[in-house]
This record gives sequence, C-alpha cells and structure tokens, in this order.
Amino acid sequence: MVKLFNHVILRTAWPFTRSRTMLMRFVLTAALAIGIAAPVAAQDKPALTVYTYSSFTGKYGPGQAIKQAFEAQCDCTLNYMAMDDAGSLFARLKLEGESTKADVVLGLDANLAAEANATGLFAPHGVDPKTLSLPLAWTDPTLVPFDWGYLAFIYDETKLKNPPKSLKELVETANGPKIVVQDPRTSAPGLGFMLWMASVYGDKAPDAWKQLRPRIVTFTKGWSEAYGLFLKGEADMVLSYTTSPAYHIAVEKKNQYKAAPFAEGHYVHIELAGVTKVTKQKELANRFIAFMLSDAFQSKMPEGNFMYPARTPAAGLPASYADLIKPSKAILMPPAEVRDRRRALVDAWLDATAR
Amino acid sequence: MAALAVGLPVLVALMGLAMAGGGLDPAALKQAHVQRVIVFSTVQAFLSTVIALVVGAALALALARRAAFPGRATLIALLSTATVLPGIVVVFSIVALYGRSGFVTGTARALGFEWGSWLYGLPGILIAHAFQNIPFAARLYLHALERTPPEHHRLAAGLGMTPFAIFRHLDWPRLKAETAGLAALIFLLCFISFAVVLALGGGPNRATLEVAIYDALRGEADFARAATLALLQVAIGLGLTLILAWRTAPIAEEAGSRYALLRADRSALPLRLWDIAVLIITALFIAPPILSLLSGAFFITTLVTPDMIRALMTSLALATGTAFVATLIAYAMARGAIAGRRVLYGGLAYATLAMPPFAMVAGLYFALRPLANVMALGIPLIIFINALMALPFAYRLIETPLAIAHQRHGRLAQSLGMTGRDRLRFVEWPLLRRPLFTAAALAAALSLGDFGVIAFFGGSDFVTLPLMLYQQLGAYRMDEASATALLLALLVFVFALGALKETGHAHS
Repeated sequence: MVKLFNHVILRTAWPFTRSRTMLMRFVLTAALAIGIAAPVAAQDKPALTVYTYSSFTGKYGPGQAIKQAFEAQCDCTLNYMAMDDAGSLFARLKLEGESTKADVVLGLDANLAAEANATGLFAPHGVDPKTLSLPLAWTDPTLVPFDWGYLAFIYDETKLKNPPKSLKELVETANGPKIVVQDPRTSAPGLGFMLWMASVYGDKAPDAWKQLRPRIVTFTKGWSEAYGLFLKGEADMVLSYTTSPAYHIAVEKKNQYKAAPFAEGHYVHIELAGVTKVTKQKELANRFIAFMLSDAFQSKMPEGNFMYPARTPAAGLPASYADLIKPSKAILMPPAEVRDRRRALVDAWLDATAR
Repeated sequence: MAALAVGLPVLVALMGLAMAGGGLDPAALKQAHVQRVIVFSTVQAFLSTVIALVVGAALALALARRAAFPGRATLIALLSTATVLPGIVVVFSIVALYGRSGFVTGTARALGFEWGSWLYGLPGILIAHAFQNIPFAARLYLHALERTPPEHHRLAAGLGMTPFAIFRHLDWPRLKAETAGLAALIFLLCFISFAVVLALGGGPNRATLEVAIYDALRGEADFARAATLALLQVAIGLGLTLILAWRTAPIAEEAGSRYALLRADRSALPLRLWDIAVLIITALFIAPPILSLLSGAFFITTLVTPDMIRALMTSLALATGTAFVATLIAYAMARGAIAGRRVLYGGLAYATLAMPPFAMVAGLYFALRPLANVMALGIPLIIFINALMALPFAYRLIETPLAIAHQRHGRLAQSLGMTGRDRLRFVEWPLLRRPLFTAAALAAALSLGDFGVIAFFGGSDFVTLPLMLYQQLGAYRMDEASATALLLALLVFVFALGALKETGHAHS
C-alpha cells in the first residue's frame, strides 16, 4: 500500500510543476474524477429521505434492519442521511431551513424540541399520545417519541459497595465517589444532567455544582469518552442511562455494572422524530412514522439503541431488561423552558464549576 | 491561485456563518467565560509549545548525532504516530499510563507512593500535547539538521571544534530558523485542541475557544455567535503567524556536496551519554502510550468484517486524496512564498487551521447555497477540507527546503533558462524529495485519523475508520474499538516508515 501510495505521488508529482494552469487543471480533473466515481443510483421507486444520527444507521445500530423491514412493506427506497449526533442534526436542519431534503427527521431529543419547533419545519403527526408507553405525558403536536431512557450513574458493584441513594447524597457527601460526566455544551446526557441538577436544586443548583465539583474527575466532550474513562477505572461512577447495564448483561454476560437509583427521580431522555412540512412524500413519511411506532421498529430499540421503546411491543422487553432499576419518578424540564433557560443555566454552570 | 484556493474558502465560510446568523455577535467576546478560556488556552498552548520545542530539539540533535543505530527508522516512525492519532485515542492511551488505574500510577502504588489524582488539569493537557507535538518538532528539526552541508562538519572536524562550538555555530542557526514557524504551528494546534483538552482538562475552564464555537453551532444553532468566535480564532491564528513570519527569514545557504554527512561531534563521549539518555527518556515517554494500543491485538479478528474492510478502503482512499491535494497546495504556496509573498502564504496556511472544520462546512454550505449544494459534494469536499487541515504541516515541511533549493541553485537555473519540469527535477527535487514524502505521509495520516469533517457529513454508505471507532465506542464495544485504534496506529506507522525508507538516503 505504501509502495503504491508513494508510486502515485512520484508519478504524479512531475507534471504539476509545469505551470500553474496545468496545476489547476489537475486539481479539477482529480476532483471531477472522484465526484463521478460516487455512485448514482437509478430511482424508479419513490424514495424517502430520513435524516438521523450515525450511531443509529451504523454497524451497531438498528438502522439497517429497520430500513429492510420498512422497504419490504412500502415499495419504496429508504435513504438515510446520517449526522454525528442530535446536535449536528439540528444544526444541519437549521442551516438548510425550507430547502432541506429531509422527509423525516429521526433523532432530535426533548431538550431540543422547542428550538426545533421554532424553525417551523415540522408538520403535525396526529399520533395519539395516550398510545405511547412513556413515564410522563408527551403532548408535542409535531415531534413523536421513538425511544427514551432514564439518565443514571453507572457503577461497578465489585468496586463501589455503597453507591449514593439520592442525587443529594451524591452531591453532599464530601468523600463520596468520584464521577465522570459529559460537558453540557457538547453532549446530550451532559445537558440532561445539568437540567436534572436544575430541576432538583432550583436556584441552589450553582451551589450544588460547587459542592459536587471536587469529585468530578472531568467533563468530557461526549458519552464515549466518559464511559471509556469509567471502564478504564478513572472514576467510580459515570453518567449514562439506566439501560446501560443491559448491554453488559446481553452482550458481555457481565452482571457487575449497575445503575444507582436516586430518590429524587431520574431525568428522562426522549428521542424524537417528525415529518417535515416541505416533504413531497407526505403520505410515505406518515407511513414511516406509523411504522416507527409498530412492533417491527419498536422491538429493535431495547437491544439496538439500548433505550426503552416508546410503545412497548406485544412481546414485551428482552430478558436483559428484567433486572434494571425502575426509577420512582421521571423528571423532565418542559422543552420551552429548556429553550428559554439553557444559555443562563450553562453560564451559571460555567461560573460554578470554574476553579 | 494557491492563495485563493486556501484563503477564499475560509473567508466565504466565515461570511456564510455570519449571513446565517444575521450578522456578528460582539457580545460573545465580552463574556467572562470566553475571556477566561482565551487566557487559559494561551497559557497552556505557550507551555505546550515550549516543551515540544525544547524536547523536540534535544531529540532531533540526538537523532542527528546518532545517525545509525539499529531500529532508528522504526523509532522515528513510532514516535511520529503520536502526532496524528485521533484525540480520543490519545486520551485513552495517556490514561492507560498515567490515569488512576494506569500503569505508572499502579506501579507507584505498588512501590508505596500514593499520588492521588494529579492528571486531570494542566498536567494532563501538557502531557497529551507533549506526546502529540514533540515527535513533530523533532522530525522537522531533524530535517533541518540533516540539510547541513557535509563540508561544514568536515571543516569543524579539521578545526578541532568542540561539540559545544559545533552546536553553537552549525546546529543552532538551523534550529533557530525553523523555530518561529514551528512554534506558531504547535501553539495554534494546542490553542484549538478540543477533545483532548476537554477530557484531560478536568473542567470547563480548562477548555478552548473551539468548544465554545462547537456549542454555539450545534447546541444552540446560534450562527452569529459561532461566526464571531470563529473569526476571533482565525484572527488569533493569522496575527500570531504574521508576527512570527515577519520576525524571521530563512538562513542563507550555500550548496552542499555529495559527501555523506558525518558529524564531527559524533564520537565525543559525554555527548554520547547525553544523547543516549535523551533517546531513552523521550522513547520512554512517547512509546508506551502508543504501545498500550497493542492491547487491541487480542480483538483484531473482530475487524475482519465487510463493514470494517469498506471503512478501511474509504479511509485509505480519502487519505491518498488528501495527501495528494495537501502536498500539491503546499508546494504551490511554497512557490508563491519564494516569489516574495512569504508572510501572506505563511499566514494563510495557519489561518485555515484556526477555522474549525465543522464551522467551515456549515459556513460554506450556507454561503454557497444559492449556487450549489455543498453537502452533496461529499468526497471531494472532505478531501479538500482535510487537505486544508493538513496544509500547515505540509507547508512547514516544504517551505524551507524549497527556499534553500532556490537560494542554492535558483540563479544558476534562471541563467540557464530552466523552468517547469527541469527546474523541479534538477533544482528542487534533490532537497524536496524527503519533505514531500514526509508531507504526503503526514497529510495521509492526519486524514486517516480525522473525524471532524466526516462527522458532519457521515452517511451510512460512507464510513471511515475513525467513524467506525466512534460508533464502536458509542455502542459500548470497547474491545472492538481498541482493535480499530490499533489498526489506525499501525497504518499511520506504516505510512511514516514508508516515507522514511523511501527517502532514507536522500540527503546528498
């Protein structure tokens, strides 16, 4: 490979230097050649474009199985356009505005819902919220949940014998466990935890952050860094979801990872989908939303996304979910309040955690 | 032409972002947090740069004086790997050594030392940046030292110069001539460092401006704020390099001969011991985190899947394209620089680095929306942006040798009427061969490890190795991720080794 690579450079390096026009011509040709090489698929069936995030469509996500299942019944082609996460998805939508190519957007979350609705890009979904199995009422007229989970701190029970039993205990025990969390500015669970603290502590949240601060090993960019640091032994607990132990049970057959139940209740992360107003495939897009809430899709959520299904399938939840903790209370800051307070809360968090 | 190709996209992207946000948001600059972050970034980037330059120079001198020991090329290639590993891999490798449950901490604990938590904060950031930048500084300094005309060392030996005098009169001017450009590059890299600073910094104050730009762009889609902060970062990058470029000029050179370079100070005993110590200490600092990736070898069989192979092929194709385009633009810019626009081109090469890739894509998309769908450009755009990110490295490697080639033979070539192909072949190629290969290998390696631009585009039929790595990590597959990280490191290592072997005896 290196040989070949060097060879290409060697052979091609010469002609470039003849003149600048020559050089430009080569750049253009190279760009064109690469452009043409990209596959151009012939489309005779109607095509549905779904904007989503890459861990949904990727090798380990449920996306490919869902695409097959939907295509088998819709006589259409389902195309994913994958961004890296919900934040990028939202940024791209906002940039594209009315000219977006998305028919369906799948993967926004509740904390972004008000801002997403403010773009005016989404059409009403018409799904009856009473048919959903969420731990709290969800009444947004345009964005429908497709899965959800509780945020929670995960620990290894072979290493941490007495995990805190409440958020207050975590925050207020001076020699308590060391934790690693995500930065609320760059990560969805990080933002969720900041809102969790705000919901439990209200105006006193900055003081609570100051109290907790000495035991926060670090704030990472994303979930992956945080969970990786935890598994490498850098912290006693990591901010994740109550469903995380299900992965270790289902795939690794390990039972030592547990979520710590907190008495105040747990913040809820809800993932949402919606049909765009500008879609030219309105009927097909609505069929996809109906399919999304059917068993064929929902049964893939527990061990595909490691999240709870938004509408529990007839077959129920998999065995790996049997022993998961069941929080007594679900906490969610209303999306409009998140939109209005986010900046102020982030600034207060920044000031409180500065040292 | 090269200046346009590089400068225009940055400008257009900044304008696009500002357009999308309905103007700039100067209030963003007044925020206490933004100011704190700029101060901290400046301090950590300054310290990181000093460490990288001092240790890098010591390592380069040791490698120059010990020009032939077994495993030298392997060592250089191994160290070079550190420069281009994806941020998340760097974090995990540093933690595997110095973390709470890491090897060093564990050994210390076994010996009865309890260090407590010391890594997260400035120490962690400095360790990671030293790990990433010492090898690059050493590589560049080594190139400079190896350009010394062999006669100088023959003369030094004939005059019986002491090792210190050799350092003072032969090595120091060469190191000094590289330092300004290199310092600017490393400072900027540390100034914009993102995942590493966030993970090892321990708190939001130990962050960089890039985090704030990322947040403004995605968390709130506040494009005015993103444009303002990006403009500030580009201005800092540009200002910094203009000052440094203005302060320095390449050293006057005379032609070397075809004698082999034999340094006069290679046999002094104290120096020998010093060099051995430098080599062992730097190798012990940089190699173990890289070698810790070998733990992925246990899971390497998990990589033999069609998806992985496709990801590998995609990554290699992108890397080849990036290497090609980056080297080309860097060469064209270096030609512009010797034509008398050094400050302009030097500044441009760094301005592109200061523009966050995700902001670049978003801005370009918005600005060019009426003309073309930038997102649909896909692969060519990714290659172009990756090439821009690799450009400062490639430019740094190519600019000085090209200037020297023209100082040595430029007038003669002109009087002979040599242009184009002949000038490249006879005047530039002998000195440029090694830096061109190194630049191509480095650009390829940088593109292999890149995650930034890919992330914004993605697409299920478009998966690269770093994206695969993130998907594995995001899906709890730490074992498979460790294998992918190993594969990435191996590829980068092979690229670096290939460039070294190909040019092993090129200094004539």
